[in-house]
Amino acid sequence: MPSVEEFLVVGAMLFAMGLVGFLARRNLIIIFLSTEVMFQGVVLTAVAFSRMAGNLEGQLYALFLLVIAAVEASLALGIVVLLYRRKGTLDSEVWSMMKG
Amino acid sequence: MDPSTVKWLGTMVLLGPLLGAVAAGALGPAWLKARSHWAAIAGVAFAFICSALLFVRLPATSGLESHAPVLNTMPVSDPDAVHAPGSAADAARRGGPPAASITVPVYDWLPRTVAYSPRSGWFHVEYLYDGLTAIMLCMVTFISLLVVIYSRDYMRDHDHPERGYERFFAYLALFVFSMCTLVLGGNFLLLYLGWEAVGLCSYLLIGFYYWKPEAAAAAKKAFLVNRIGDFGFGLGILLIYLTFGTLQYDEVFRMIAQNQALSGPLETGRLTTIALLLLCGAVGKSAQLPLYVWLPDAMEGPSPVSALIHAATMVTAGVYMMVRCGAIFAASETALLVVACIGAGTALFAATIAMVQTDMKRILAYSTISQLGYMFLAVGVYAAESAIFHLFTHAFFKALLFLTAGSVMHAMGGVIDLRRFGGLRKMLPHTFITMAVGGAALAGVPLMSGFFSKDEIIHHAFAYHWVFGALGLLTAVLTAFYTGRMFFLAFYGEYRAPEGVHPHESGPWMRWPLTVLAIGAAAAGFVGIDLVFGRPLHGLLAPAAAPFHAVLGAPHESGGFLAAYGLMILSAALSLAGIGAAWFVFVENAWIATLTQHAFPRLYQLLWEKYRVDEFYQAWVAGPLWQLGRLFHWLDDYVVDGLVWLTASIPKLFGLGARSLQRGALQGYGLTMTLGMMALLMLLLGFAI
Amino acid sequence: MTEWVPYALYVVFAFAGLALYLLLPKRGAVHGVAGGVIALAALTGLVALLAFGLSDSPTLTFYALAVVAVGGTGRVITHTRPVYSALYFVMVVIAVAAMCLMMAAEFLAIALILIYAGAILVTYVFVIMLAQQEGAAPAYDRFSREPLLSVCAGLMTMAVVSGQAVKAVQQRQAVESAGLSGVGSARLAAGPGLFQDVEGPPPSPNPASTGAAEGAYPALPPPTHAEEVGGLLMARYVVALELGALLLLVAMAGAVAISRKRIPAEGPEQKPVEAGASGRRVVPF
Repeated sequence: MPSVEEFLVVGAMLFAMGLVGFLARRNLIIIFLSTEVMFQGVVLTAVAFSRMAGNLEGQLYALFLLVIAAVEASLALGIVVLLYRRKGTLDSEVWSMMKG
Repeated sequence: MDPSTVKWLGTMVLLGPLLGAVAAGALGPAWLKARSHWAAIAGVAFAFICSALLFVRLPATSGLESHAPVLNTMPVSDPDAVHAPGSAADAARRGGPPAASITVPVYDWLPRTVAYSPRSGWFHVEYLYDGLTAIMLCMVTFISLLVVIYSRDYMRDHDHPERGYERFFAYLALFVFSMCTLVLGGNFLLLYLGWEAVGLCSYLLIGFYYWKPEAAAAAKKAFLVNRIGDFGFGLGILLIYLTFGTLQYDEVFRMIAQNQALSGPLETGRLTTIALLLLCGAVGKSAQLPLYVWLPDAMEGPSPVSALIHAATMVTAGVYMMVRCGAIFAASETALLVVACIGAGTALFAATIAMVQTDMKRILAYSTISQLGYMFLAVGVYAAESAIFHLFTHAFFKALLFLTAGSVMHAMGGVIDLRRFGGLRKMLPHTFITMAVGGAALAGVPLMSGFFSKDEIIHHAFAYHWVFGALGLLTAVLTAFYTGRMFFLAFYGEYRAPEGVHPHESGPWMRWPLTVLAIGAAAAGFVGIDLVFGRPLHGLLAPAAAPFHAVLGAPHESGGFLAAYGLMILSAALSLAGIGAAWFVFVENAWIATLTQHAFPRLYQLLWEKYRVDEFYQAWVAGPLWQLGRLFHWLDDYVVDGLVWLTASIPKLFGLGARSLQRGALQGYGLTMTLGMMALLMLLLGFAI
Repeated sequence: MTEWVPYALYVVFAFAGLALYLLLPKRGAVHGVAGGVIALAALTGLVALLAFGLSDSPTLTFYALAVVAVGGTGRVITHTRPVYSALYFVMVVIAVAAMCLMMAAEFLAIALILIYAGAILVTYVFVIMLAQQEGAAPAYDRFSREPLLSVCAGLMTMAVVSGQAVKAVQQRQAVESAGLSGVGSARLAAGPGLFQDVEGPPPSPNPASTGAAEGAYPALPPPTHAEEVGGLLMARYVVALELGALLLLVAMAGAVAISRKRIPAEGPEQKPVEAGASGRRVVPF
C-alpha cells in the first residue's frame, strides 16, 4: 500500500505540470484543459490528506472542487466560444489590449 | 385641549393629503387615471374634517381680555412627556383662563446620540396648536378642498382628462400636506421643511405644463427667486439656533420674553438681525417688493394652482410666519418698520401695475401682491390680528377670483387677454355673479369681507403713522379701480370672443366650489367684527398676537363716532368711487381710457412694462451673475482642468519607461506571478523537505 | 525517510522539467526523441524514487497509475492537437479516479469519471469542434510562449508544493507517533493497506477502539462510503451544498447569457480604434 507522501508527490506533479501548460500554451482550449489538470492534482492531494486524517472532509472539499470545476468549464468554454467568434482564432496572444 | 387629541388629529391632518398624493401619484398613471381626483379629494376632505374636529375642540378664549403672553414657561426636560402647562384641565384647576397654546411632541427625529444639543434631542417633530394654527389649518384645507373639486372639471377638456391629470392631483395633495406641515409645525425646522416643501410644490405646479417654454422658465424663475429669500430665511433659523440653542417656538419665545439668550442676556441687535433674516424669507415667499417678480410669471401654471397656491395659501406663509414669530418681530422696532415700509410700498406699487395690465390672471397676481402688501403693512403696524383677518378674507375672495378667471379662461378656450373678449355677462351668468361677489370683496365694497379686513388695517396704519394710512387708502382706491376695470372689461361692453370659441358655462364640479367661495367671500368678514359674539377671530388670534399687544398695548376702540367710523365711511366711499370711476371710464365712455393712454404715453408705457423691474434684474443682477458664471466656467475649463492635467501627466512621465513592461498578455502576468510567488515561498519555507 | 530522498526528488523533477521543455512545441527543432527518452527516464526515476524512497510497501498498481497520470499530463500540455490533449486528459482523469479508489474514495472516484470524463470533456470536445481550424495545426498550437521560463516556474512549484506537503505529513506523523496528540495518533502510522482493510472487518466508529491496530492506516469509513459522504453533505455541509447548487444554476444562466450574445465578428487583422482620433476626447492617462 503506497504511503500518503507518494500520492502527494504525484498530486504536486500534476498540479505543477498543469501550471506549465497554463503558462506556456497559447491555445485557449488547452489553457483551460491545463487548469483542469491542475484541479486533478488538487483533488488527489485533498483525497490523500483526507485519507491521512481518517475522515471525509478532504473528500468533500474535492467534491466541491468538482462543482467549481464544472462551473468554470461551462463559463470558460462559453467565453472561449465568444472570443473565438469575435476574432476567429483561439490564440491567447490576440487578447493583449491592456498593454501599456 | 387634550394633547393626545391634537397629536392624533394633527397627524391625521398631515397623513390624509400625503396618502392622497401618494395614491394619486403611484396608482394614478396605471390604474386610477381619470379617477385620480378622488384620491386627492378624499385626502384633502379628510384633512379638512380633522381640522374642523381640531377646531371645535379649541376652547373658546375670552376675546381680547386674554392678551397676556400665554407662553410656555416650563423648560423641556423630558421630550417624551407631553408638556402642556397651559392645557385646559390644568388651567381649570388653577382657575385661570383656558389655555391658548399647546405644544405637542410627536416623536424624536434625531435622538441625542446623533447630534449634540442643550436639549435632549436635536430635532423633535412637534405640533404647536393655538387659534392661529386652527384658523390657518381650517382655511387651507377648506380652500384646498374646493380647489381640488373645481380642478376635477377644469383639468379636463370635453370630459377628457388633460395630459398629466394624475400628476396634477398628486402635486396638489402634496402641497396641502406641505402647507399643513408648515402651519402645524411646532418648531422652526418643521416650519422650514414645510416652507421648502410648498416651494417645491409651487415649482412643480407652475411648471406643470413643462412642455411650454414659458411655464418652464416661470417655474425656474419662481424657484430661483425664492432661493434668494430662503437663503436669508435659513440663515435666520441658524442664527436662532445659535442664539437660543433650540428651535422650538415655545422655548425661543420664552427666552425672548425673559430677555435671555444661550450665553448671557439677549441683545436687541441680534434679535433685529434674526427678524430681518426671517423677513427675507417672508419677502420671497409672499412676493414682496424686491422679490415679487416671480409671482406674476407663476400664472403660467393652471388656474386652480394660481388660486390655491399663489393667492390663497402659500404666498400667505410669509405673513403667517411673521405673526407666528411675533415675539421676535415685535421685539424689534426696526424690523417692523421695515416690514411696514415694504408692505405699504408693495401694496401701492403692485396696484399701479395692475391698473394697465390686460391679462386677467396677471391683474389678479398683481392684486395678490398688493393685498399681501396690506398684510405686511398690518404686521408692521403691530396689528397682527388684522393681518391674519385680511389673510383669511383674502383667501376666500382671491381664490374665488382666480377660479372665476379660470372659468372664463376655460370658456374662452385658454384665452385670458382682456382685449380679446368682453361682454360675457350673458354667456357666463354664474361666473359673472360669483366674480362680481369676489370683485366686490376685493374692491372693498361695504359689508363684503374685504371691506372689513382692509378697513381695519388702514385704521391701524393711521393709528401708527398717517403716512402708512394714506398709502393704504390710496391703494384701496386703486384696488377698486383696477378690479372694476377688469370686471367691466370682461363682462360688460359689447360681446366679443376669440374666433371659434363658443363660450359655455362650466359644469357643476366647477360651479359649486365657486358658489361656496362666493358665500365665503361675502360673509367671511363677519367673523372679524363685533356683531353678537364679540370678535371671534380676533379672540382666537389673541394668544398668537400677544407679543404685538405687549408692545403697543391692546387695540382699543377710541371714543367718538368719527374716530371709530369716520375712516370706515371714508374708505367705503373711496372704494365705491373707484368702482364708479372704472364704470365711467370703461363702460360708459371708453374713449377716456384711450385718451389717457395717449395723453401720458411715457407713464402708460412704464406701467405697462411693469416699471421694467424684470429688465432691471436681468441687466444688473442676472447678467453680471451670468458673466461671473462664464468666468468660473472658463477658470474651471482651463485653470482647474489644467492643474488636473498637469498632476496627471507627472506620473505618466514616470511611467514612460515602466509601462513597456506591461504587455497585456494574461499568461505573462501569470508567469511572473508564479515565479515570484514560488521564489518567495522557497525563501520563507526553505528548500529541503 | 532517508536524507537523500529530497535531493533525488529534485533530480527527478529536473529531468521531468527538461523533458517537458524539450517536448513543448516551440520554434526551431522539436526534440521529440530526446524528449521522449528523458521523459521515460524521469518516469522511471519517479517510480524508483517512490518505491525505494518514500514507500514502505511498494504497490505495483499505484506505480502504473502514477506513470499513466504523470505521463498523460505531459502529453496533455505538449500535444499540438487539442483533441488529443483532451483524450489524454481523459486518461489522466481515469488514473486519478483509480488512485482515489485506492484511497477508499469510491464516491469521489465515480464522480470524477462521471463529471470530468462524462460531462466536462464532452463540452470540451464540442468547443474544439466549434473552433476547429482547417488543415495543419495553427501557429498558436505549434509555438509555445516562454517555454523555458514556464518550465522553471513549474519546477519551482513542483518542488515547493511536494516538498511542503511531504514535510507536513512527516511532521504530523512525528508528532503523533511521539504521542503528543491523543486522538488518532495510532491511526496514522504505516500499517495495512487499503485492500486489506476493505477485506477485514468494518472498523468500529469509536477511534479509541482502533488503538489495537497499532501503526495502522487510519480507520476506514464504513463500507457504505457513499452513505457517509451523503450524510455529511446533508448535515454539516448542507449550506455549502446548497451554495454549490446555486452556483451551478448561476453558471448555467451565465453560460446561456454569454452564448446568446451576438458578437460582431472582427477580423483578426482588424486594428483597435485609435483613441482620441476624433472629437474632443479627454485622454489624460
